[in-house]
Order: sequence, then C-alpha cells, then structure tokens
Amino acid sequence: MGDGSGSWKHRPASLAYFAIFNPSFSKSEDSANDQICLFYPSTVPADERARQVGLATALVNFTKTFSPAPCDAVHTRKHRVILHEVEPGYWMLLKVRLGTRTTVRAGHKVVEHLEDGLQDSILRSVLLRAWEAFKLFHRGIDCILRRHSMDVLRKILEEFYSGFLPRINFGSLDLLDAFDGIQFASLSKASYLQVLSLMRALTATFPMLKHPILFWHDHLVWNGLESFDALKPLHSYITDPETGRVYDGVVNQVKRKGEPIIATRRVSLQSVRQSRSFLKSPRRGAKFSGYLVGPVTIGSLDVELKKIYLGPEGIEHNLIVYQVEEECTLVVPVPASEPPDQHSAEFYARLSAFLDERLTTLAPLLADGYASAKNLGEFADQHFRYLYYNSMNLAFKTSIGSYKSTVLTPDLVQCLNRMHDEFARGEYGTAANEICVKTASTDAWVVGRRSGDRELYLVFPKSDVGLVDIDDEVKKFTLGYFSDIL
Amino acid sequence: MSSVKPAGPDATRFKDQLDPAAEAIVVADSVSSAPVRPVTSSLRYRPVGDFQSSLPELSAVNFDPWRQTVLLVLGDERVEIQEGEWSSKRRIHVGHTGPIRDAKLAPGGGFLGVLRSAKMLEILEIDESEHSTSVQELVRDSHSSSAILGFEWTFPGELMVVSSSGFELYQYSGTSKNFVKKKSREARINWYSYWPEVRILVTSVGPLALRLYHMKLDSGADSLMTVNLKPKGNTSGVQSQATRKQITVFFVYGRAFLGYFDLTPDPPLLVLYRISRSTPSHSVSYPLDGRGTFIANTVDNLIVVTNVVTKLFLIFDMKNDGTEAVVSTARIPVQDENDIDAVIEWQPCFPDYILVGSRGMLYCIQVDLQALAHDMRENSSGLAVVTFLARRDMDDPTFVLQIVAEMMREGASVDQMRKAFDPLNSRVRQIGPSDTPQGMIRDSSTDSVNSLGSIGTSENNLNGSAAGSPTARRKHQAHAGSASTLQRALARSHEEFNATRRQLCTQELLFANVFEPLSKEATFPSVYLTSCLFEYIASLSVAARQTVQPCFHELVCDLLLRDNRHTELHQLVQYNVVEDSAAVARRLLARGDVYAPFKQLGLDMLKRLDANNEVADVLLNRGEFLDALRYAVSRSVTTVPPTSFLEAALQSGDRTLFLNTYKCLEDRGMMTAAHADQAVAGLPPGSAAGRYVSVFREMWGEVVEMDSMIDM
Amino acid sequence: MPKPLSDSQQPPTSSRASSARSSQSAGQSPPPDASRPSDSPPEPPPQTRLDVGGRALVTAITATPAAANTENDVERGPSQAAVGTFGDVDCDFSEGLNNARTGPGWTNRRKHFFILSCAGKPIYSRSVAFLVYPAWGHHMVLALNRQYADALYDLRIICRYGDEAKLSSLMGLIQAIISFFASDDDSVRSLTAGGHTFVFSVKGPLYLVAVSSTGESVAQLRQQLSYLHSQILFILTSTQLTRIFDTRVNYDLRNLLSGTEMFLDQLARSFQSTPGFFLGSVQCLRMPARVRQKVAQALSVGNPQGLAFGMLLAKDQLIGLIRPKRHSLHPADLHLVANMIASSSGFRSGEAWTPVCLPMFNNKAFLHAYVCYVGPDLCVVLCSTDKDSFFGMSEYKAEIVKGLEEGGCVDGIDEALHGVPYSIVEVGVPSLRHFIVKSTPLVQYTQPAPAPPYTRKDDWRRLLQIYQRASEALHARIDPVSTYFYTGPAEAVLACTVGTLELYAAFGPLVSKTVAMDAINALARWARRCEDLLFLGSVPVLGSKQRSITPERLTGPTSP
Repeated sequence: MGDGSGSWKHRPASLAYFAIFNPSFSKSEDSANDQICLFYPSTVPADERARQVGLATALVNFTKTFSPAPCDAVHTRKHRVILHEVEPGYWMLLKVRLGTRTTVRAGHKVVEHLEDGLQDSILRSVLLRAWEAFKLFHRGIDCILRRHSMDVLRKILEEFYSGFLPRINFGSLDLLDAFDGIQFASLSKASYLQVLSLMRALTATFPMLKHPILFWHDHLVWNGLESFDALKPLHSYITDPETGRVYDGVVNQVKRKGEPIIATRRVSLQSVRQSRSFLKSPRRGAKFSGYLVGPVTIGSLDVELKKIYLGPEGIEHNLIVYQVEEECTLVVPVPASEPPDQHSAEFYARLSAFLDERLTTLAPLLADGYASAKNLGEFADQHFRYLYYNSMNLAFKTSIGSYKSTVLTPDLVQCLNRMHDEFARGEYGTAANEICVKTASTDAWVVGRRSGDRELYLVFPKSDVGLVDIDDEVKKFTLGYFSDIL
Repeated sequence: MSSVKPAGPDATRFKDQLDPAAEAIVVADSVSSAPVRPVTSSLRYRPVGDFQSSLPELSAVNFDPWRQTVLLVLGDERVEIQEGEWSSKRRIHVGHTGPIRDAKLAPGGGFLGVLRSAKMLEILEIDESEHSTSVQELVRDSHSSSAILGFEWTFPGELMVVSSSGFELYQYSGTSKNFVKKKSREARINWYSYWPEVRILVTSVGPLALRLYHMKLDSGADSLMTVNLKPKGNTSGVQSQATRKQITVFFVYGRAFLGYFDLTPDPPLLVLYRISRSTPSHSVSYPLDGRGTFIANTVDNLIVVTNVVTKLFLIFDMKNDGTEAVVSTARIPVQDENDIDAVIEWQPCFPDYILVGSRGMLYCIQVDLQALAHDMRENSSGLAVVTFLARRDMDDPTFVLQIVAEMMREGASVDQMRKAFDPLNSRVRQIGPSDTPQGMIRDSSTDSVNSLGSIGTSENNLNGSAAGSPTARRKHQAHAGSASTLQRALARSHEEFNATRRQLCTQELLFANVFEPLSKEATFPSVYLTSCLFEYIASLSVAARQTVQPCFHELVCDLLLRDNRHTELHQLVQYNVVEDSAAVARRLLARGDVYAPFKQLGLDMLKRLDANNEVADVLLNRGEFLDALRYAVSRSVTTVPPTSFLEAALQSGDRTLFLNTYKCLEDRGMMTAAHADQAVAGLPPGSAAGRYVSVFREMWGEVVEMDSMIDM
Repeated sequence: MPKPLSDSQQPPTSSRASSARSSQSAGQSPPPDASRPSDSPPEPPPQTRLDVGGRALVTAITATPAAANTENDVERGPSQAAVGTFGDVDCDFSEGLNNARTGPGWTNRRKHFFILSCAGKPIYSRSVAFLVYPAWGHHMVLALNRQYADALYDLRIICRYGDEAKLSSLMGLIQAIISFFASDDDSVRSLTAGGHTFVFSVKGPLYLVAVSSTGESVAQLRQQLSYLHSQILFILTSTQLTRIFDTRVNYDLRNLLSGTEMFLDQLARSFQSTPGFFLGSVQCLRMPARVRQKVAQALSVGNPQGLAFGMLLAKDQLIGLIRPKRHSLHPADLHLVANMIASSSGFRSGEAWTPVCLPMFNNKAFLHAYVCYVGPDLCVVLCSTDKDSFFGMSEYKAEIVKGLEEGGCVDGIDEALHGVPYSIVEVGVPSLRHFIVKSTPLVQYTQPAPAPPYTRKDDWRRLLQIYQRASEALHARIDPVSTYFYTGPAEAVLACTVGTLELYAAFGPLVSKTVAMDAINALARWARRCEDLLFLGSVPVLGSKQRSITPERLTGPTSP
C-alpha cells in the first residue's frame, strides 16, 4: 500500500461515536434514551442514539445465545465497533470510522477502506484506557449515580469525555497505544540508591506523602504505589503530551499556554523522537518549576484538592504534582484519609523548598544515567528496530523512531499491529510463541516473539538474507539485550 | 631528660603494689570484649617495664626511643642499658673522665654517646661485654661562647650534635672507623628538643621564635618553618619566652603538629601548628583547665594532655571539629597517694610513654575506648561517638556496633545512620609490621650498604622482638609513620591514608551485631530498619565501593516482603540494588501467588544465575513443560534427567505434549528409536526410561482413527 | 419428466438420487432450464414435505449397510428422540446441549452454520460439534461416541425439526441485524464474542452466517460460507434462487432443499478435515505419468454430444479429467462434485442421473451429472448440458472403462490407490512431521498420510488451522508475505512460496530455523523431482480426437 502510483486521496480513521449505556435503565421501547449515560458527539439526534444503542444491546443478546462471553467487537465494511461492559450493567461502545483511500481508476473513483491500526486488540486497549482515565478522576459510574442523580452523571461524563476523546488520534494507532507501557529511567545501582534515599527522606520529612512517584521527563524513576497496574492510569495521564495543553480542571495552567506538562512521550511509532530534548531544555528561557497540581502560587492559602481514585477499589487520594526544572516531576497521591489540614500553605512551601533543593541535585544524576544508557544501547538502537513490552511491570522499550535510521514505513508498523493482534488472539484458537514473516512487497523481515508475559518485535527492513541469518541476528540481539526472552 | 634524685626505699613498695595492678589490667585487657564491665577510667597506664630506681649512684634516667626502654646513668662511669622488651640489662663502664651529663645509645646499639661536658662529647663503641672502647671525642671549644646543648642519634650510624651556635651532623665511615662531620648549620640556639620518631628538631632561636628542621638519612637536614609563638595572654616576665617543656610535637592522623602550651591566658591553651616547610599554619588551640604544668602524649591519634599539678587529664581528637575535649578533666586513675605525688615528676616520652624516674617505672598510656565511649555517650550524640570510635584503633569493634544498634533503637535519623555507617565501612587500619622495613629502605634513598644492612637488621630485630602485643604493633605504626620522610607524612592525602588500610568492622560483624538481631525484634519498626539497611548498602557500594554480602540482600528481601512492599522490592531487583542470588530468587518465587510479577522476576534471576536445574523445575512445576524443555535445550542442560520431562508430560495427560517431549529428546539422542524392550540411551540402564518408550509406542504406535466420532 | 428414471433399470439402487430429484420436482415444477417460463411453485403442507425429506434420507441410509457410523448415530438420534426429550430443548447454543455431560478436560468446540433468506426464513442450519478428550486410549473415544450421538441429536432437533419458533426467532434476529447495518449504507462483516467468531455473508437473497469457536479466522469462515453458498447454487442455480425470492420473498427454501442437506452437511464436515478448500485447489491421485496418459487417452475417445466435463475420481482425489476447449473446471466446482459423491453412498450401486449446477462454470443453468462407480473406489462423473443424454453418457462411460482396461490402467490405478495416502518417509526428511505442496498454476496439492501426532483429529485440526493462517498470510490482500514461520505450543509451521510451488511444512515445536529451512528446501527439491508423479499436469480437451495431449492447464489459478 502507499505506492505513489496514481492520484489518491487519503482520509484517516476517525471516531464515529462513543457511548456509555445501561440497558436495564430503559423500561420500554419509547424510553430507550433513558439507558444512555453518554453519547458523544452530542450532535447525534436522540432517535439515532437509541437506534445504535439498541443495536449494541441486540448484538450482545444475539451473541449470548452462542457464547458465554458477550459480543465485544464488530467489523463492518466501514466501521469498527468495540463493546465492553465496564461496570456491571454499564456498557462502553466505541465506534470508529475506517480510514479510506480514494483512488481514481479508469475514470471512476474507487474507495478503499483501510483498517490501519484498528485491530481489535489495539482499539480495545484504547477503550479501556478511556475507561481507566475516567475511573482515575471519578472513581466509577455507578458510585456517582448512587451519590448524585442521572443528570449529574450525564454532565460529568459529558464534561470528561468531551475533553478526553479528542486527545485520541484514531488515524495513527499503533503498538504504543496497544501497550501504553512505561519507560523506566535507566540508572546505575549507585544513583538508584540515591533516588532511594531521597524518597526515604521525602517520606520521612513529609509523613503523609506515602506513595511518591518520581518521573524524569516521561521516564519512571520511582513508583511508590502498591502495584504497577495502579500506576498505569496515572502514568498515562501525567505523561500524555496532551495533558496540560488545554485546561482540564486538574493541572494548573501555570505553564505557557499550550505547553504540555511533560512533552517527551512518544505518541506514534512513526514520529522521530528528538532525544536532544531530554538533555537540554525543550525551549529557551527559564525552565518551569512549581506545582502542576496544588497551589498555583506558593503561600496562597486557597488550595483546591484534586481527587483521584487508585487501585481496583478506587481508593480516594488527593493529588499533588510538583515539577522541577521541567525535568523531574514528583507525583504524590495522598490518601484522602490523611487529615486535610495537612495541606497547609506552609506545607506546600516546605515541600517545594525540599524538592527544589533535592531534585535539582538529583536531576544531573538522572540525566547522566540516561545519557550513558543511551550511549550503551546506541549500537542496538541504531542497528535493531525493536519493540519490547513486559506486561509484568509494563516496561516498554523501543528503538523504533529513536534515530532517523530506525523509522519504520507505515506498512511495517501495520505489520507489527497485525502480529500483535495475532498474539492477543492467542488465548483463543492457535496460540503462537513466535511468528516471523518476510513481507513480499518490501522484503522486510518482521519477527514477533511472545514468551510468558513479554512481547518482543524486531524488524529488519530491506534485507535479502534468509530466515536462518535473521534468526542469528535475533539471537545476537536477544542475548545481548533481552536475554530473558528465550 | 632531667635527672632525678634517688627516690629511696619507698620505690620498692611502689613497685610491689603496682605490679598486681598491672596484672589486673592485663587480665582485664584480655577480656575487654566482654559487653558489660565496670568502667573505671578512660585512661590506663600500663607498666611496660620497671627498673631499679633505688640504686644509690643512680644519677639520671633516660628514655631510649629506639628500644622503648630506659638507659640509666650510674655515677660517673657506668651506664645501664635495658635491652628491648626489658629482657635483660647490662652495665657498661664508660671510664671515669668527669661527670656524665647525658648518655644515649645509638639505634643499632653499637655506639654509645656520652656527653662529658658542655665542650666534649665522647663516642664509645660497645659490644656484648661490659667494656667500651672510645671511638672518638668531639670537642667543641672554638669560641668560648658555644656550648654543646646536647646530641641525638638520628639514624643508625648517624649523629647530630646541637650546640648553642648551631648543629653538626656526623656520619660513621667504615673506612676511617670514626664519625665524620658531614654537615653543619650555624644558628643561635637557646635550647632544642628532638623528636626521634618524626625526626624533627625544634630549636629555640629567640624568646618566642622556634625553627624546625627535619632530619633525613645520610645527614640530610631540611629546614622547616619558623614559628613565632604569640601568647594570647599578657606577655610579661617569664612568660615572655617559651621553655622547652612548653613545646611538644604530635604525630596524629599521619600529620605532624607543633604543640605549644600557652600559659599566658586563662585558661591556658594548647596551640597546635601544622608543621610544614613553609610558613606555619595555626590549626587549633585547645583550652586547658586551670593552671599548672602540662605534659602531652599522643595515643592512638588522640592528644592526651595531663596537668601534672592538678592531676587531671584531657583528651583531644583533632578530627573532632571544635576545641571541645573528648574527655574533659578526668582524674588520673591512680589511687595511691604516693603515685599521685609522683605524677608531678612525670616525663612524657614520645609518643605515649610516661617515665617516672623516682618510681623506676615506664608506663604506656592506653585509652580504654569502651570506657571512653561510655563517658562520651553522656553528653555527645551516638553519631559523634561512633565516628570518633571509627577513627580509633581497636581489635574488637563489637561494642561500637552496640552503640550503632542503640542509635537505631533511639530512632536516629536515617541521614545520621548513613553518617555513622560511612566511617565504619571506610575506616581501615594498617596491615601490620611487615611493610615497615621496605618503608625504611624506600626512604633511605642513596646510602652506604652497611648502613642499609644495619637499618634492616635493626628493624628486623625490632619486628622480631615486638611482634607481640597490640601495643608493640602500634610501635611499628609509629615507626612507619616516622620512618617515612616528613614531606610524605605531610603530603599523604587522607585517601591514601585509608587506602593502605583494611576495614575496621566487616559486613558480617555489622550484620550479626546490628541488623539481624534488630530484624528479629518483633517490635522494631521494620520500615525504619529497611531504610537504615539501604543507607548501609549505599554506604558500602558508593562510599566504600565494596560488594555487598548476600545476607543483606536476603534481609532486605525479607523485610520488604514482611511489609508487603512488593513494588519496592520489584524495582530494587530491577535496578540490581538487591542483587541476584538463589536465596532471593526463591523468596520471590514463593511470593509469586501474591504478587504475580515475582514469578517472572524470580525465574529471570535464576536464569541469570544459570541455576538451570531450578529453572527447569520451576517451569515444570508451573506446567510450562515445553518452556522447560526449550530452556533445557537452549542451555543444553544435561543435569535434569530426561525422565522428569517425560514423566511431567505424561502426567499432564496431553498426548501431543508427550509426543513432542519424546521426539525432542529422541532428536537429541537421549532416547533411542529402537525396540521398546531396549534400554534408553543417554539414561542409566535399568532406569524407568524404557517404560516411556513403550508408553510412547502404545500411545502413538498405531493410528488412532477418530474421524468416525468427530463429525456428524 | 421422470422418463429417464422410469426406463433406467435400477430404481432401488439410485434411491438417493431419485429422492433428491423427486424432492426437486416436488419443490419446483419448472425444469431447471432457464428458458422455460416459470409458474409459481405449489406449496404442499410442510408436514408431508418434511416426511419426504426425512424418509428419503432414512431410506438412503438403510439402503447402504456400509454407511459412516456418524450418519448412523446422527440418524438414530431423532428416531430415539421421538420417544425422549423432544419438547425440552431451548435455543441456547452456547451451553445446555451437553455441558452437563462435558466434565473437566473436555474441549467443547462448536461451529454453527446458518443459511436464511433475506426475509429471515431459516433455510439451513447446522451445528458441527467437536468433542475431543485429550487423554488417549480407545475406551475413552468409544464412550465419547455414544454421548456424542446424543449431543448431535439435540442439535439436530434444534436445527432440523425442533423448536421451529426459537430457530426462526434467531433467524429473524440475524436478518434484523444484517438489514440494520444495510440501512446505514454499511454491511456487517463479523462479530467477535470472547472465543466465538460470527461471520456474516450476504449472497443475493441468501444470508449466510457462521458461528465458530474453533479459532478459525474470519477470512476462513467467510470462505467456507461461500462454499456453502455455491453448494446451494449447485442444487438450485442462481437464476432459480433469484426467481423464487423475486416472486415470493418469504418462501421457505427448505422445501426445495430437503433431502439434499447431506450435501451441505458433508461439505461443512470436510472444511474441518481437508485443506483443499482453503487452498482452493484439488488433490489428485499420485500416479505415474504413463498411467495418466493412458487415462487421458481413455477419456478423450468418443466424447458424446453435450458432454461438458468428464472426470474420473477415486475417493476425493482426481484421476483424470476432460474439459471443453475454452472452459476450465474450477477447483470449487470439482469440490462440489466430489462432495456430492462423498455425501451419499447411494451412488455406489448403479448409475445415477441428477441435475447439478457448477457455479464457477455457469451458475445460471443446470448441467446433468451422470455418476457411476466403475470400481470399488473409482467413480466416473460426466456432466452434460443435455438433460436427456443419460444413455449417451452411460455408453461413453462404458467406452472409458473399455479404454482403461485396454490401456491396462485398471491395475495402474489400483496400484496408485493402494499407494495413497503415501507415507511422509518417502520424502526422506526426518524432521518433517507433515507437509502440503501446492502447485499454484495447477491449483493442485499433495500431502502425505498424517503421521503422529496428526493421526489424532484434534491435532490434525489444529494443524490445518495453522496452515490456513499461513496461506492467509501468503495471500493477504494487503502486505502478503513470502515466508511465514510460526512456532506454537504443539508445533512449528513454515510456509513459503518457491517458484510456482507453495510449501507448508510442520515440525516439532522446538525445531531450529536452520533445520526447518533445510527441510523445506529438501521438500521443494523432492516436489520438483516428482512433479509429474504428484500433479495432473495436462488434461485433454473435448473433441480433440487425436490421442495427443494438449498441454493445457486444468484450470486457472482463481480462488473461490
């Protein structure tokens, strides 16, 4: 695909609509709209909403006659639909318009529907992230409904998702979205010990900061939460380059307008990461230091606590986010059980003073760690296009796009997507440990491995070597860098 | 070197009741490791030797720095020499040619210098016999004014004569069989004092002006700084000039200092100048207590100042910041009245000797660290005590660790603990006497062979004789310190200072005495304990650059698991703070059900450790048979018997799996495709493997046609 | 119109064929020829029709003692059912059927096919259930056998006779779903629900739906649906189909199909067991070129008028073929023919004459198939455009037989038949466990007899599925691959295209890629070496009296 022959117009995939509904709320046919908690975009007329939701319900019932699991995905000629029961009775519905390529062949135009990056597995993880994000700030649908009225619920959902959904670019979904993994800071044992003692000192001096989380740019340095799964939604919110662009009621608009709170995270495999931005300021002028969540001006008494809910039980926390020199970002969810009077202006002043001092001394360490690791892995990163994910600690690592030399062509990215989908489908039917293919069009080798909880993908573009040589290459790589993957 | 009156009969008594005391202390010494022990005083005076002070003709008692013994001048013609370790003594006739002002024995022990008068110094050669033969007489009567103030043996076969008009250096020449003047310095010298250990000559060149020289092998004499003492108080009359007794030289922490008891202010001060070649640098002045006469010693890099009038002593540690005394004004631990009286005539001998002529005793000052620590705990923080003790020199540091443990019990801040751990890890001491001779030779740059030899021998005797008690060992340090030329001593940066030393208290000790017991205490806050552990590990691997013993990793692991701090442990393993070890891996795997990632983490660890059997077992137990097999094949594991795979596969009830396992082993020649009744190759004959062959045939031998019942 | 039948002298033997035809004649008064003016078909009460279908089937079975015991069980099911649980069946396809009976360890994988009219009327529905116990030992299998019958019989009840209401409500739901999407100017392709895949296919007036939890991919199921569709055309032709639904939208097509479900059943079953369908190619009998030539000669003498295709089949394997000059026999059509013969043992005795439509050849009109076994496994199938050429065909068949005997082919063929399925050992690559070699231009494939573990149905199916994935990857519409290497829990599969050959090879799961590559190269060499032994390289065309064989392809490489 994408061979420039002939003139063709390309329209990327886009969101058709997104809905949350609970069939049990509609007593009768004419009250069908009662079950709809959210329908985005709101421009869709009521009866159409009812139709679509009704269909979804019908599909669920239909599939239930055959399989214990309800319908979770629908493929049509023009759309992809993902369905998921996020809370008992509450369904989330994501419908995506396929991208199209309109080519003019022999006079009349041919419209081709493309499923780039719209594999079920990827869309599902997008949907789940949308759900996790909501839970992070609002705990859950049912508990809102129990506390407030349906109208309030609708309002909250509307507010949240009208802010959240535009963030997602359905035109370029890939494995980054599928995994939504965590980049771990690369540190020597010695410097990690320093991080450790800093964290201890922090919790020692501020006893209520029990679960500090420290980022260096978008790299995770320390996770003080009970599990990585608990961290995941928070992580993807904080490191999302969209966060902070527009006011979302959580982060202070203390940065220059349109400035993300953390800019360094990759959004697409096809974009080249500019690693320079890690080592020096992304823009000239003073780097920002201060509270991203917390008091806007230190010493100001009016601190509006931002609530988040963590873990499977959705335990309430008050969020504090402090950034130093736009390098280190400390994220601290404070259990709401802590007495709120702790959040005094004095406390925030002390905290910022503490962090300014300690983190500025730590930052160079982290930068060095990054630099040295970068030099260490430079060979691998330049010579191998790899992508690695470990579901056990959500660790994610890729060389793709980190250098000019390692950017992938769209079709290879798609190939990776399909392969991942195949692995994801593994739980049903024929599970696969390894798949390697040579694409007929571009003569590229793509190797995918899944061992236990890890996935590793390697791409060798334009290689005229055989399977055996490729296998040797893979061996070389895995032994050198990911020896745990057999 | 003042001569003292014969003390008369009471001396014997004095001895009698001091000896048992000595016994007592020695005994106590041997059991000093016992945790609790009635602490008397932080200072002890250990008698290293005694001599007859009741001889009627005893005219002078001199300390012999080379043997750490004394040399007695008896009347006008006899000198009594104590051999090293007070093993024996012999009297030597030096001939009667007038009164003996001073007598000193040369390092090699071959020569004896006798100062007959202010003008004449006679050098005698002595042997095993009682007799001595005069080698030569050095007469100084060029101008009437100049008088010989004294003489010093600087090196084996080297001699220095100090006169009011300067000093001259002589060296023995084997050819002319006498001492030849090598060098001389002109200077007006009021008085002088020489410190053989550091080979520093202090000359008084004015009422308050001192010039220092450093003697070097082969008649070298570097002139060092000139100090102009500036008394703090009002300088009137007698105070306006410094007497010899007011001047001492210290050698602590590998650095040499000039000490000056400034009696003018109240309280008087001990002013210390760092000795250097250039301008004097005043380092610190310690306030002393009350008026009186002060003597100073250095013990284990501590400065012990004794006020012989008030019978009180103070201890200073130059590493302590501030001028606070470590032990302020304690009474000298001597009970008997006579001893107290005797204190007034104590002679300090470098570095830590006290000579009491009238009592015929040579004491060696010892610091009872345990007692000292106990006193310190009264009014200074645990950290201070630990850091202080860490600089000390002890054979059994357990009681230090008890203090560390106390600190943790009292919940000292984590930073403090870190500060306490650092010195414990980095503080190390010298390896022992063996390297001193080389030190000497290294220093003796260019030299005549025999003198070299003599040095060697002298040192070797010394080693041989001294390689006994810790004190003896300390002597050697002193020697080594002094042996090295001053520049070196001065130049030596602290790092080097440590580099040549070994750790004071090992990880094992710390683990056994602090962390493990605390971890056992149910009530002890484990979060705090882990923080301390991390600090210790950090201190080890960052400050001391040592590999951490596995026991610590296991303890960290246990503590974190105890508190269910799984993510933390996860990250620590990830960043190799908790290092790989089979024990840790097993702990992780055991927790796999509670915190799933540990399954992976533990297994990876085992793989990194190449614990192939365990890996295979774990995989088999998890039912990941094929992975187990794949691993075994990829690592070419031969230790796991094929039967275990086959059995596992068979038990799984999965026929395909069994086939794959069987075939895989077969392909690798571990099965034989021969008849079922044959034993299996690659397996011990008579093993159950043959069974699997037949099982395989039974299972897959004939084609099981199932089409009929699969479809409609 | 039953003229040929009446004076053909073997009514009892061709009972199935006749019944099929009778059902047709009952269903559709106009003869299949599109030329004839159509008058709306009469509608007898469903009762009788069902009986007709039912009896027809039963007689067919009882007429043949050597019927597959599946058929036995299946058919015995209802007969007992009449007594037992008739009423209490619900429409829950997911559980209920025999989950009660399936203890732990059973893998209960199911697959349903539904065909309904655009009006939502059920046409055909079938549940293929696979119950396989991984443990080994015959007793287990036998135990399964009995139980299985019950399972199937439940399904039959639902799908065939039972609970019409529930079934049609389900069909109505499907129809509603499809039309819903259609109303959005969209069309539903597939659903997934956990491990289940639902595939929808709209073919003119027919809606076809596959529901599967076997792990087959959407594309594979879609392909199978299109096979089922062609099977219906095979029975009805598209003209007839469209005409019927133009005239009467909610016509119950079962009237016309009753008695021929066995075709569909057989087809649905073979999807699971033979790779020919997803490979879009046929398997032809492995025999020496010399014998082939003789067969070709035998076929090409005295072609009667109206002969469209003549083929010589043994089991489901092609031995010889003769075809018109500018038409080729599409593998799909050949599959349908072979499927028809395999469907019923009725053909085994005597001659049969039945109208068929080869959709790929011409889906508008009927051909008339003359089927006759000339040997224990050897079967002659002659398709004629002339519905009255029964005797012409019969004579031609005799000619062929004569030709074969003269050419001494009979022994040759028997020999070849004994030689199949050949053992994988012949290839001489020990690391190979199984393979398929497909000749892309000839759209033929060959494979050895399954060796362990593929002697077990479950393993065999899994292997086929992996092969299917591989071939999908090789023929993907976007970004096809030239090499596909898969490693799974039970085997490794390497698929690649080498020149005109498509190779699929199975190895042990721990095979090294080096070994696999060597193996596949060796396989390719072997295949080229005995290409003419494996494949039917060239076929004679009609009317060419001369004995020479024109080297024309069996068919073009179009896939269904």
